[in-house]
Amino acid sequence: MQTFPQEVRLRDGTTVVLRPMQEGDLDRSHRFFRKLPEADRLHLRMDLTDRANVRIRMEATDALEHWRLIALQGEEIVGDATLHRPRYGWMRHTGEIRCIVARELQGRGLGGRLLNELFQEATRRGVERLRAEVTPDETAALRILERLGFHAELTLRDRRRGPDGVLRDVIVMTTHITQLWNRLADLMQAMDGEGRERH
Amino acid sequence: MVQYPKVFRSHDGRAVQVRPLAPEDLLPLLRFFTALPEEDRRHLRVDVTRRDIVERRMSPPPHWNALRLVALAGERIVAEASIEHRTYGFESHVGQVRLIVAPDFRGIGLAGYLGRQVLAHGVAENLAKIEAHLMQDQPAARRCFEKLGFEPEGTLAGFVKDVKGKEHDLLILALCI
Repeated sequence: MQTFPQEVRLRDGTTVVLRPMQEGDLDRSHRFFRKLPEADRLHLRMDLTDRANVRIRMEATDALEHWRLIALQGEEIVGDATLHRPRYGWMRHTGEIRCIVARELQGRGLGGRLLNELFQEATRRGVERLRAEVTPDETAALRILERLGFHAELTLRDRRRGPDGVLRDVIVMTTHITQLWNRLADLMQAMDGEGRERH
Repeated sequence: MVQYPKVFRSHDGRAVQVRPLAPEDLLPLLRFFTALPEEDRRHLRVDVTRRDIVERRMSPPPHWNALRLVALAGERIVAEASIEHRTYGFESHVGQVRLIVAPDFRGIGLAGYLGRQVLAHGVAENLAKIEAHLMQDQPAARRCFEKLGFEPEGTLAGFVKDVKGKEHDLLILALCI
């Protein structure tokens, strides 16, 4: 079992610290979302440049249902990942994942690392099916999820209205947790193979 | 603004009072849920025989707007209809509708009547889209929503589990306003 805080070395040698979000992270979290480029902020569920919304996000949600993990570089947040798993009801065996990485840290493996932590937590919590929501223009996220074996199962029309007022569709990508771990094992094996060839 | 209570009269002469759910409805509501056939309860999203769950759901979660209507025959709750939506964020234009009617009050137009009441609330709240989430194997409920103008958006395989732990496909129906 992983314990936090956890120091992580990224591909280029940068180190970040991963730990669950805490009460005192409100201002830090607000700064992180305010610094995101507008194009990235369109993919969120609410306007998080508004501090009141950051507070809602941190407080108005059931802490037992939401597991939030952040990546810190020094004092600043550079990544934010959430697993949402309903405590009760007919979807209690499912979990939804979300992950955002600061532009300057993208392409260094941080997103993959955060996703991996979400998958482990989902497994610990007994989640059997996972979903992720993306808008059709989030091509990078779509590609990553597809590589992990998620498939686009459903498109919800006009599901999101961003700060620009435009209604956007949402693609629901899903996978089964067993398939996911098999897929991750295959990817690891493929990477090992590549590694050996290079030596 | 819509005034409640309202009275729904069926063609077979029954009168049902419709009004928003009130705090004192907890026990009648629990009686309504526990009296539903097991097959119906299997299709609901939470275990409504649990008092703590029903009690917690009497009022909407923080930052949600909800209208929950109950239909009463005398003192007995015979149907429940609701619509809810977030009051913040990029999905605050999307509402979700639920509808449950006691078996002996089906087929008299009550479900359609209640459905239209909650849809009217959604329109008044400026919602742009209203969704209904069902299990794939609920043809009667699906027909009822389709009569109200809902269209299927798609399914998520195995995304709902009934109270017995059996997986079902989740069907999402939507009405764009």
